[in-house]
Amino acid sequence: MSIVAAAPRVRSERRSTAARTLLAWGAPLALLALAVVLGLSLGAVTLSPARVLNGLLDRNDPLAHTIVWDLRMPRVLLALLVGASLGVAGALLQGVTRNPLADPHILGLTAGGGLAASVAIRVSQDVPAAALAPIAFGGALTAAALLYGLSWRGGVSPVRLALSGVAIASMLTSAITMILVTSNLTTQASLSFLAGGLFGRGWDEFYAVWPYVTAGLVAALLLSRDMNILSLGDEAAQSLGLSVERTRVFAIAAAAMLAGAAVSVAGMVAFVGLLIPHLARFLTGDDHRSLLPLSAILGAALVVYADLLARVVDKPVEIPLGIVTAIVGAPFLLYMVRWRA
Amino acid sequence: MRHGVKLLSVLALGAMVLAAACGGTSDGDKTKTAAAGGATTPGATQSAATPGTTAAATTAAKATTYPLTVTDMLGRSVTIAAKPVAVAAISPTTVEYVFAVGATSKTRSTSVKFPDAATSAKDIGPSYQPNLELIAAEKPDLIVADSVIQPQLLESLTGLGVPVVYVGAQVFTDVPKGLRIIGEVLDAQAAGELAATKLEKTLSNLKAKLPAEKPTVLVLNGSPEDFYAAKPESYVGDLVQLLGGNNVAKGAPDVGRFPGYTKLSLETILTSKPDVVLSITAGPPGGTTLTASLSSNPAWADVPAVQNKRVSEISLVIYLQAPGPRAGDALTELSKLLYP
Repeated sequence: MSIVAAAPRVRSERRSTAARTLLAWGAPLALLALAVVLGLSLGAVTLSPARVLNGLLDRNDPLAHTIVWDLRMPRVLLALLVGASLGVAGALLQGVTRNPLADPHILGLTAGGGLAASVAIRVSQDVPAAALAPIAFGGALTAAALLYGLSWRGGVSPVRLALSGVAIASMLTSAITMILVTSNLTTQASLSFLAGGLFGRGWDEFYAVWPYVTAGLVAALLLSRDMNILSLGDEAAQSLGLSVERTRVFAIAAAAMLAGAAVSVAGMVAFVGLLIPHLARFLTGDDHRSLLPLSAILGAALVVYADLLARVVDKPVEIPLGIVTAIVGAPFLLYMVRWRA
Repeated sequence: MRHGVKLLSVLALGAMVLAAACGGTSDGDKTKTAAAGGATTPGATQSAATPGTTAAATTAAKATTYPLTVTDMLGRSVTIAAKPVAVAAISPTTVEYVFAVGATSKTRSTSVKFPDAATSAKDIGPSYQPNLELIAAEKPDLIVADSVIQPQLLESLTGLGVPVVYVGAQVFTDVPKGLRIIGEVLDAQAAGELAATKLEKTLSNLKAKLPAEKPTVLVLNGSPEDFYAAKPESYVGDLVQLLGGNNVAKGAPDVGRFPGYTKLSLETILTSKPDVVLSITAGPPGGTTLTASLSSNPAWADVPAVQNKRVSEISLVIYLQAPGPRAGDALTELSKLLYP
């Protein structure tokens, strides 16, 4: 009797789990696909869908090809990479610090990358895009090493990690401000991307940065199982045979690589790393095996939409991307915090 | 650091708003020029428009042969396959260069108000971040970019697949040079040469008439709360130097965001006793000008320029925002202010 009664319930539960998984993955993927389509279709110049397609396929419409393929496409792809990087870096750091407020911006990784990039540009304005990515990555990694070193006291506690991060971030951000205000106008123009923006970014930047993002994302995925164990707490993780410190070091290094790659092309884009993991967790729960990829998808979608808004809201003037992500992101985070509480 | 950039954009915005206001006040000049027939200083355009009159007779009108390879003012070698018919000039200075040789630009940056004909060109946004899509949409066969304020755009612009020529005006001698380059590139060599010669002649005429006694000059740029002094290395400082003015800021280190500008303490200014103070106020229109603020400031009361009422406001547009072909007007105005 009980078996007969239980069978349909199991089936319906299984169906609802399947439906939820479909929603958790399908909705963000659809959102991202729409973002890419809109990002390619809209801009300062209005093109009909047919011309956008012609431009994309390079069918006898040189103007559409220039606008869609040379100007919009690399920006959309870069926004995608930047968003995925920041989303995953945020999820990794929130996991490592077990602190919902952690993100590459707040812990000083983007500031480290930004400082290295601005020093390089201050020394020579002709730094090629291909060199800026490794320089920013080096800066982010140095900031991460500083973060880890300063939090070390025979082991690293999540709370110390978060607090040192905040201190390092404000220190490095001040150094960037210092470089900026003491620079002349042309150097400031070269540094303007640091405010968060993809103005003038093209295929060169895309080719320079995708290997770092790919490496960082793969590293993050490989770490996802260990991240799950780490989230049980240091002692429990240790008793399960996990090398806690090694996992932390790897996760922070992967986050630094992603944050450095993002900052080298888009400057300091706030809020994505903070907001996206919360959104992903809301959709899929705490399992890093789905949390990390979902953070990548959602982060990518957010930044593609944000860059689209930055381009079209006040055209022909571009508003800084970082301002858009903050304006869109902040109320959303507030809503989630209240709604979930 | 975000604050820094925001500050920069706010300042740039302020400068643009002010430029709009200045454009309004210089309407008199504009109509005069338009009446004379077009582009740069009234005289230059007139002779350019009617070759065969005195000055034109000395200049053989040489046609440019394409493909043409020129060295632009960033020192780049640029090859132009055929005579450009759709030119996109993307800064105030470059727009003026193009119109000065009798050609037309399809584009302009937002702040451009001169010449009149340029205002109907497509607005492509601020010169520090011109909209690349809008530039491409005009299907230009030549982009003229600013070698002083836009070198950082080089990669983005060349990415559009159109030849890019850089010209600008950091010092006076750049202007005739730029005019000749643009004249050659646009197959308007006679007009370019004429405008350039005219400028050089204006300078030599003014120089020939300079009195033996040279004034001590201070040129300020900024707001009443925060201003910088132009050194001889800046554009306006160079013009003052050419006219024999002894610049108070000479030899000081660069300070602030504009290259060629420095910060002088009030004590330095008081002890250097400038005979003439020229100020370029950057700020919202209708606000207090530097001139008004200095003249009423008791700390400045002992400065000879203040005592003798020789503190003058000069145009933000022609001395700072759009240095270039109107250098002749600038020199003439400055010579009157330095030697009344």
